[in-house]
Amino acid sequence: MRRGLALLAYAFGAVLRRRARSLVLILALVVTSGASGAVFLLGESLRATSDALLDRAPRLTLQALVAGRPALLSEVELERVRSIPSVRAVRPRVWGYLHQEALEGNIVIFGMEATELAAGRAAGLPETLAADEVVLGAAFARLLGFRQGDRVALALPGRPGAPEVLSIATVLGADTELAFGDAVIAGPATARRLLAIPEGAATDAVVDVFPPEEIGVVSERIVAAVPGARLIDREALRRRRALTFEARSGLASAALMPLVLAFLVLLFDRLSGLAEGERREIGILKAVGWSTADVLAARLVETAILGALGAGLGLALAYGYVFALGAPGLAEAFLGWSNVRPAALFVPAGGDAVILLLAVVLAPYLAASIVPAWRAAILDPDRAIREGS
Amino acid sequence: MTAPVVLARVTKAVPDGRARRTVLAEIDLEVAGGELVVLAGPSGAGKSTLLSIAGAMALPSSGAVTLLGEDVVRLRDAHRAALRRRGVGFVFQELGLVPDLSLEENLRLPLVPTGGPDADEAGRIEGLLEELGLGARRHDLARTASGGERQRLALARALVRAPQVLLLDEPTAHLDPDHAAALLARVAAEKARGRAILLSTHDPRVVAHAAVDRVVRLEAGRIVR
Repeated sequence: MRRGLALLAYAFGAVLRRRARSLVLILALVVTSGASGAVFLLGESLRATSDALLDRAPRLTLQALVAGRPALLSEVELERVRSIPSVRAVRPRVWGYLHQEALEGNIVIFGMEATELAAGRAAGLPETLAADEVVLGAAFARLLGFRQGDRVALALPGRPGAPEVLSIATVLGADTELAFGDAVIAGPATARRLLAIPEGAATDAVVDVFPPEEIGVVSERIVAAVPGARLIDREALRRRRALTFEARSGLASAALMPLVLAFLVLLFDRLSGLAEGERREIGILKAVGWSTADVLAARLVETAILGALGAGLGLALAYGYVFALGAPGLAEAFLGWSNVRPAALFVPAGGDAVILLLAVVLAPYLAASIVPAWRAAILDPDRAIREGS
Repeated sequence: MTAPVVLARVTKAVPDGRARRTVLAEIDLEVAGGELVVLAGPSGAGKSTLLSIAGAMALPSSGAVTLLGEDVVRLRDAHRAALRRRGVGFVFQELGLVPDLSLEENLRLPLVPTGGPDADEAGRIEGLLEELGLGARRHDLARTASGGERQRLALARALVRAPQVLLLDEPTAHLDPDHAAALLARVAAEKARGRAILLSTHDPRVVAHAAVDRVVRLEAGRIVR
């Protein structure tokens, strides 16, 4: 313990005495760990946010396809599903996309029953919506500067020049942006009118199965009962989203590889090229009784101090960049380039993710420093003192 | 009883282009406790190399070195380092101070691998700093010290572990007569404490000093008398 503390104190002193070299390495590590940390934290945050949203999504959703295109579900088809054993309830949903020139993008219209609105009170939904009222997603509202009480004109495909004008009952909070940023929530009748969906038909349906272990069997029976049925299992969707963010995170990490390699080369070069004074100092240490292991330990501790400072600072900057600033520039690569997209990211990474990241960043750094440290430690003291003098 | 320093048929050859150059040849030398032996000879005679080998800082190409009863050639690096730390004090011709450390930090350097000074060593550091007139400057960087102060600091560091063997390489080379006399007086005092002292020089003041027990003359790597 005493030996460790004494070596630590010596290494700290060496970091301060070799300021120029220390600063170069710290700066390089700040850039490398900051860039790779931002990619990792952004991916982790999106995964966590997506998971949190999926936790509230239905376990099983039924859609219909005709010739590979989404089609409406009819009342007859929904009745067939209701009659399958273990199906406790079938709740038809009305939703769809509307292209808006003003946004140069699509918005999503959701029709919500009063019971669904009540369930969404915590998320900021009103208790009821009148026929001419809607709730706006935060990204959509922000992009066009809408606030509660304003009126919004939605262009409809069948009515050029005659938009539907609706009152904004409220605007959803930023914490719902990843799922509802581009949403317009309306009552069911209003949603049908906007999307031209006839009474009785549905875009899709939530199927409540009990017991949940029967989902596999029920799914097979639904496929048999409804031609063109497509079933979306929440857990399958969770895996697909995770893979999506992992793929984007992987691509961004691959783009950073040249930076990481350049840093490792710089590190090896800086640590290998001992200055005359350093050679002499190592010679002195060994001459006064330091063993190769002592010198190696001191060099590695010195490197670890630089690593902890550089990586710590880099990751702190990455954390602020992702969670305080919303990762400008990088978020587009993960969230897509739609005009109506989430502004900020929402589930900050936990301590375990940060510790894992620190370990991942420091591992190659420390590995690259071992050989130079060893080469320094095995210097012959007699030669080092004479040649360094 | 075996002398603290025993060299038997020590030869040292170093690479010189494609060939090897013999720096020391067939050296037999013993330094007993309480004995001050002076290695004299011209520059390039091999004095510094002999001191390095005697202090387990370099290994001979052939021959045997026994330091404080240990066969240096057979020791592993860590044990050789521990032996140097425990039993040998070195004053290098170049002094071997770290210029960016304070005077006191330079003194503490040999003690870092064992966790810093214990109570005895802390007391010895205090005593050496005061005895050698360095107390007031203990926190100043070594680079700011004068030539005389640096020489005294190098001697203090060699003594900080109260070693049984003291090796000094040209210790008076850069000193004026007063400082040289003071240093030799201090060396004589260490001899009186029972330390085995091997000192290389080509300074006639040192060779003629009353405390010197034996002068070994080295020329072209060989002992000539």
